[in-house]
Amino acid sequence: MTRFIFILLFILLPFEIHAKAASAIKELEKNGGIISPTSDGGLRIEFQLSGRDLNDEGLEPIKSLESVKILNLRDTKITNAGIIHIEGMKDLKRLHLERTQIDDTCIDHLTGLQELEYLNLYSTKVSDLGLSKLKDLKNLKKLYLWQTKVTNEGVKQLEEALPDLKIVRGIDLDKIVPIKKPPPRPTEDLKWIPSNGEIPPRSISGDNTTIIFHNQMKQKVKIYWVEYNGKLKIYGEIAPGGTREQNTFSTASWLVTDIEGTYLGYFRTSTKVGKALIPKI
Amino acid sequence: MLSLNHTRRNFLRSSVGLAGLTVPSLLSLISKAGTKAPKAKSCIVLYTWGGMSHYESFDPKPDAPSDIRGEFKPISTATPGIQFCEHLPLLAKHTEKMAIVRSIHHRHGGHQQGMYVSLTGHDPEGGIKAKSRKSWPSLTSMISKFNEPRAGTPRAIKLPYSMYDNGTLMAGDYGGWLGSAYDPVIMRTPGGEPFQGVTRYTDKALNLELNIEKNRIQDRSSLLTKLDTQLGKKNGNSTEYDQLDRYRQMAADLLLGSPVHDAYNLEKEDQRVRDMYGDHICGQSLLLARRLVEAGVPVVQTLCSAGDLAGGGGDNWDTHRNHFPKMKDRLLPVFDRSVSALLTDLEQRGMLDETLVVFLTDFGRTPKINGNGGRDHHPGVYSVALAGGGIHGGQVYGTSDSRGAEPGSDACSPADFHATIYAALGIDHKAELHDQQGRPFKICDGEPLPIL
Repeated sequence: MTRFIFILLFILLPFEIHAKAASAIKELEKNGGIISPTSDGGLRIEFQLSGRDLNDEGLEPIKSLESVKILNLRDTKITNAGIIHIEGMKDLKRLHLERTQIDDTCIDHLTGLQELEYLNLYSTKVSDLGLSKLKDLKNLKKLYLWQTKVTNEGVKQLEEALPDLKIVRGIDLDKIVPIKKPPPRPTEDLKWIPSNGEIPPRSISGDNTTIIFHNQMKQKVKIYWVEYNGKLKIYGEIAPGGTREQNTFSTASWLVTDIEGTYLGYFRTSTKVGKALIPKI
Repeated sequence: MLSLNHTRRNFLRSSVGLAGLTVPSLLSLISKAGTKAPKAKSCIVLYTWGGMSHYESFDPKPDAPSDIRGEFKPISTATPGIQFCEHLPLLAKHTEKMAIVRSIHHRHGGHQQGMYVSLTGHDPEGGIKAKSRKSWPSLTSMISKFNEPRAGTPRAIKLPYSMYDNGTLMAGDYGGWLGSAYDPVIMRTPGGEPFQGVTRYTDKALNLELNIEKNRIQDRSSLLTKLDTQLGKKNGNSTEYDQLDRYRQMAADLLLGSPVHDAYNLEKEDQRVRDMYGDHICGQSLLLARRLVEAGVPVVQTLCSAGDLAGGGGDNWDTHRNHFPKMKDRLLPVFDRSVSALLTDLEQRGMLDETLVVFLTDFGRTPKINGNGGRDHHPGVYSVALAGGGIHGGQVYGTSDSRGAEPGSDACSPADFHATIYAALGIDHKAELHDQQGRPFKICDGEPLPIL
């Protein structure tokens, strides 16, 4: 990828700054940056995956790069001081600063980014003061402010200044009401019916329920669901002392065999959660 | 002199092998350069296994006779003129983000066949078999082919279980002729109440809950030794072990500081956000899907129902019996809450414009309600949808007829829907790929719908 970026830069930039740009890319990659081309011939630089340790100093080489269209600093250790390095990035269209330590001071360094269309500030300390400084970013189309200190009034003022801007504030998490859990369902002990060597009665489709097997034998057993047509469908093995919870339907038959497949016995389910103790034989 | 063609050749030469892109997949990317720039970088596929009724979701028919329109009423949505079923009140607030397709249809009335054509975009031919290398790759696998993630990041992930019908594992949900490297990795969602019904766990899953503390991992080789004891030996069978090897290598990369490992730990998420998605395996899976996309996984597919249809019971969309109570009490509330939480969350985090959310199902349900209070399989017309990812929201493409039985206008196919998805992701839907024997395949036979 690095080689490709070099070639791209070679075409885009005059020769004398080419070498500087190449070493900047090397540095940024060393600091965990992932650099790729954008479809409009610029650079996309991302630190949110492998570059979360990026600090203010580590971002400095970006000053030598032109045509950076997308920059993602989410979850990095960048602070207001680091944002100085992107002050002159006049081509920048998309900037992710969410979940970083930046605050209103940082916005002072963004006012010259006249091409900026997307700015993500969610989960930062930005407040109305910072918002008021964004008024001159005439191309800004989307601004993300969930979990910040902004108020309705601050947002309203910016919306009036930039009528085409869509501001996303997200939801108030304190208003989330968890789903009410249904009360625990009644349980019953299912009867162990020893095998007479024949396939147990076939299952009949019914309501949802659960069967909980507990293997008290000293040997591994296999469990089979008896299908609606009377055929056996293997559902796996249970180790000695093992437990297995299985979703099933009421009026289903569950056959238990030893590891060789010899029929031992079966259970018939009901609408209640069934406890199926496989006895010591 | 540097001509454009020359530049492109250099682009190819310098990139192949470096970014891990193959020539055809790269070619398709190049051919897109200069045309309309794709918006979506990642994709979340929501699959309602069993066949979701279009009447009781995205295409209610309030003016049809009572034996067709059913028990539920329509409700208004955020978009004037678009109505949803009354039991999707939360999702109805998100229609400005969604493009709904009400005229999709195919001709396969069985789950396996319907699911195959829906997920691969190609008609099933002959006896299709799960994991067969002759099958077409699933949408999820195909998308992953065009996105090379960094080391320690799986190409494609499936949550929380595989699709079965009465114990039979379904074909069309794998890498097919792309090869096993493109089989999506299955992950168990670590939380949420499971769907009622049979949920089979026989596929090998990538286990990220191994009891290894991160700071005790010395290096990759000592980690692999630990993984050997925890994953490999219990199988005791060398073939099984070989199959596990890919997972073992991947698990090692993941555990060694990949953001994917952190993403898997739902305990790290704000409890209120977990509650927003719902304490249900569907909600927690969609939450996990968001976290995985955030961590750089290109495509995540989630099953929004129990994993085995097993005779039409349980929490799956195959509602041959007691359709209305099942939809109202079990299926729609979970779907409504989980999916709207996903769209809300992607939007407030500033991820929705680069994440394409795809709604897919096997087929719709019959106009007539049967003797058991159910609706049967109906591929004649049904509804699917897209959200986010640069699509134009607040629109419906195509209509079904007044009875919801056939397309009324702008009939389209699963292949057309796939072509639309590829276009949204910047993948040339006419790209040619080769199977492992070198035979050429055009990835899609459809044409993009005008909804981007």
